[in-house]
Amino acid sequence: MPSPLVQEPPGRDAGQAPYATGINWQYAYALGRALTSLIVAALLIAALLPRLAGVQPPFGSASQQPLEIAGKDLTLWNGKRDTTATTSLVITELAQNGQATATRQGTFQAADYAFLHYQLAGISPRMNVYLVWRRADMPQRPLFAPLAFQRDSAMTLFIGNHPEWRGKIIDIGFMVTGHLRNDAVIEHLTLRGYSTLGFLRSLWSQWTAQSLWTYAAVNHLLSPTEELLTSPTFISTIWVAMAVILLLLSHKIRPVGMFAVSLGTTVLLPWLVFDAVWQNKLSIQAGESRHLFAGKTTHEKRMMALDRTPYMLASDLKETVLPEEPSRIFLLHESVVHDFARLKTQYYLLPHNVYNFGSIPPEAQYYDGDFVVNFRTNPAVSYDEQSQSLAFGAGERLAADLVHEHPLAVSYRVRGDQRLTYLGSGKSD
Amino acid sequence: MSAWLSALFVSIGLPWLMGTLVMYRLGKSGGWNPYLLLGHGYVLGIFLTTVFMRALDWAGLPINLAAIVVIQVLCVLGLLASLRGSWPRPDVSVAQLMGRTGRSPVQSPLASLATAGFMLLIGLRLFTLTQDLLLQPLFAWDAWMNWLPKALLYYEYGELTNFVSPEQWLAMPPDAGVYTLGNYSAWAYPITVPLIQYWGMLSIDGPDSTMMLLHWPVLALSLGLALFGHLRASGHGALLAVVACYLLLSLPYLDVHVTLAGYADIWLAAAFSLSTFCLYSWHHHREPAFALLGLVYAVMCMTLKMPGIIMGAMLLLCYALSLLRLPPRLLVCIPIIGLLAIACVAWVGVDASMPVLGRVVINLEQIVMWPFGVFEVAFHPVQGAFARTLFMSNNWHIAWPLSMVAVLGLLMSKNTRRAECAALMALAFLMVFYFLVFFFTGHARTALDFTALNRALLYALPVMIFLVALSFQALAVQVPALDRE
Repeated sequence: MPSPLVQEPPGRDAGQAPYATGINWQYAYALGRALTSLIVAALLIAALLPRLAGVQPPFGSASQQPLEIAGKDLTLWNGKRDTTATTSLVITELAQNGQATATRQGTFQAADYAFLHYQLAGISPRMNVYLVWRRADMPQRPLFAPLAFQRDSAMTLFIGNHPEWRGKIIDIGFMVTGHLRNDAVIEHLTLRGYSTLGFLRSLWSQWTAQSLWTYAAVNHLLSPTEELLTSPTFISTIWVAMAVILLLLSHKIRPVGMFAVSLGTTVLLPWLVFDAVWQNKLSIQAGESRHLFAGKTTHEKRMMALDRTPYMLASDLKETVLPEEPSRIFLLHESVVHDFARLKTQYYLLPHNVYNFGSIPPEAQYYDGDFVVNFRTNPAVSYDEQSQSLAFGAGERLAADLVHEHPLAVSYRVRGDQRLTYLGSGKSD
Repeated sequence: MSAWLSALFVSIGLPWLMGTLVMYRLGKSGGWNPYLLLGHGYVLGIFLTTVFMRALDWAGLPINLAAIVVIQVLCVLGLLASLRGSWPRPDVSVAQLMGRTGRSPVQSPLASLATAGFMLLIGLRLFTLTQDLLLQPLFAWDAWMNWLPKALLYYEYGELTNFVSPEQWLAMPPDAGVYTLGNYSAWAYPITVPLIQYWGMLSIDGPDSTMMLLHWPVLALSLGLALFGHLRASGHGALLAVVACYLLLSLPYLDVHVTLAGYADIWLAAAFSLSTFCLYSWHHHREPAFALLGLVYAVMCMTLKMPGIIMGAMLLLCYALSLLRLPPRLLVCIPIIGLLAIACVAWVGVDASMPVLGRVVINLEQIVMWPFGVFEVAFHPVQGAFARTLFMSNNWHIAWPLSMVAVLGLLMSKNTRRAECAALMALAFLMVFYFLVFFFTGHARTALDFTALNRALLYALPVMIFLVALSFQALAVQVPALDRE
């Protein structure tokens, strides 16, 4: 019987329907062989990985009695809790500084525990959660480790390799920061000794942690781990490679049909697993976009977005200062590389005609009605109210009226035609 | 809702229909499978639309929706008239129409189920990406820094506004009507992508809505369709073809360029890959129409991005070289030989005036060539960045190691023919280009900080996935055959 994955030998007619509808044992055998190869390869990797990744546990073993703290036993130091919750800590409100900290006091040796298992719920993707603890040798200084979370799943942190996880711990808990959308639920916190399974669970938690788009995403999607040996791409490569080798060996020992099915399954299954993780990230991102932007106008969306400040500056300038007809605008900013605020302001100022280089007005002819937008962070230009002109460089002046103030930038309208000539270029980008 | 749908039809459907009819005409009036027609049809249609926009501007006419739609409709009517009498005969079965010929396999129910499953996964992915694209306000950095500003000004003025360098801008009076951009060299970038965005603004929902970027997911879909069509046309099973599409469209980095739309890179990846698919199919089917189509995509590459000028030239060279009566495997070596030749030229040193290019300098210190400017030549050890992105980052799943094995497999297989070698030659040219640019010029910085490296690698990925599918077939057939020997 031909493989469904590869070209059938010539001669079979498209009109034929040669396949029986019952169980095809050859398929089942080919699939089983692929699955066996994948499982054996996965077990080998799981056994070898901690050693290869250089994990040398100086901490308690799995036989160490776990230290479990239920959410209800945590003391909430700031923010508000739902006092009716019986088993978990339900944070209903953060403190004014956008934080809530809940800890449990007690004493134990850090070296006894390698992993933190925890379960959170109701944490939105834009929030941050940290494990917070204090040591007996410096009780005044809280120590932090960021915690990954993924919807409401149970997660594991390999806290044993944190440089500050040592000595005697006297206080441990969570800190939640950001904007609380729903009640944040902390189910429990459990510390366990080292085990290979714990290490693998901590890796999986890292790989599946939810995250939202950053501006760098369009250039590069970082590995969730710093080390090559623990990156999901590298591990899945090794997984596929080992499974294919096992498959080829088994095929060599006892050739059977449907090799293409076995090979295809061996390559595709790991891909599907890691693609499911990626799909989950995309779904979380789309869910977040739905929450923030669905049903809103473009203006409302921009007011919710990360670039609302340059958008508001440009919109306000357009509404209150700039004429209908496109004007020439000089944007002045201290940056020497691409800067988000200055470039985004230029974009939102379109169709006005923007020159967007340098921290001081460039050497050029200026015309009455040109505008200069000077970002407040730019120290190279100041406004001399007495002479009503922009002052910069070695005593240079550009006569201009202050026409607009915004937390991001101050804007000026050039008064009269002027030629600006000085030594040194204003171009910095 | 109906206005929205009609806008979608005008923006996406009309160019797609026009391109598909061109393909139908090219492919001996229906001789190509519908996936080829549809996949190429969209890209061809949208490229032709940008050509019409340039033509209107060149003729001094305003570029507005009505003018472009009239041209498109006239094209569609003309093509329909020219195709009269060449539509599929009633006795042609659906199976034949869908690209299933006597040479291609009939699938078992299990394989059909798997095929449907992968199609569902592709659908889910494109739905998720498109949903996020439409909901989020414009996000992608280069989209609003380099490409959309041009489109916005075209929209504002109804003509192709002139962009000049910052120095030229400063020297010109306010009424000169010229603009410059915040990225120092973006004024000189080719304008096909801004024209696509401008077309989206004109035909869908104006300049403020991300609806204008719907062309990005549609491009991904049509690239998948074309890949499927080429594999089916060369006799591969539907399951293998749909798995290849899934592998391509599930690549995280490609997905990012669909959902954070507005960059030119996915268009360049599509044009380069479609041209390479055509190069393969030209030799596989010995059908000149594929060569013609591939040459159109080579030209398209040159209108998309600055590196596209080189990539388009490389493709033209591939088409020319593959005509030579050289042993197929020698074709794959030509880019390496070219690399050695460039090294020799640099070692000797050249400083000459050439037609079109002007002064060309190539030596061990610098390369000067219009329109790219001056590159200081020095070796930059960026192999770590390459290794990091290929084998460690989340960009590509395991596509790169898989592709490397596939390429090696094809090179070693005794069944590899001229068609596969021609595609490998195009890929080898691209790799040599990457090697020169990232290891020997200042662009090394953009590899080390990952601002350009992955975007460059994206250009190769659809071809790599195509080669994975080809080599899988070869391997899956060869291994059992070896056992029998």
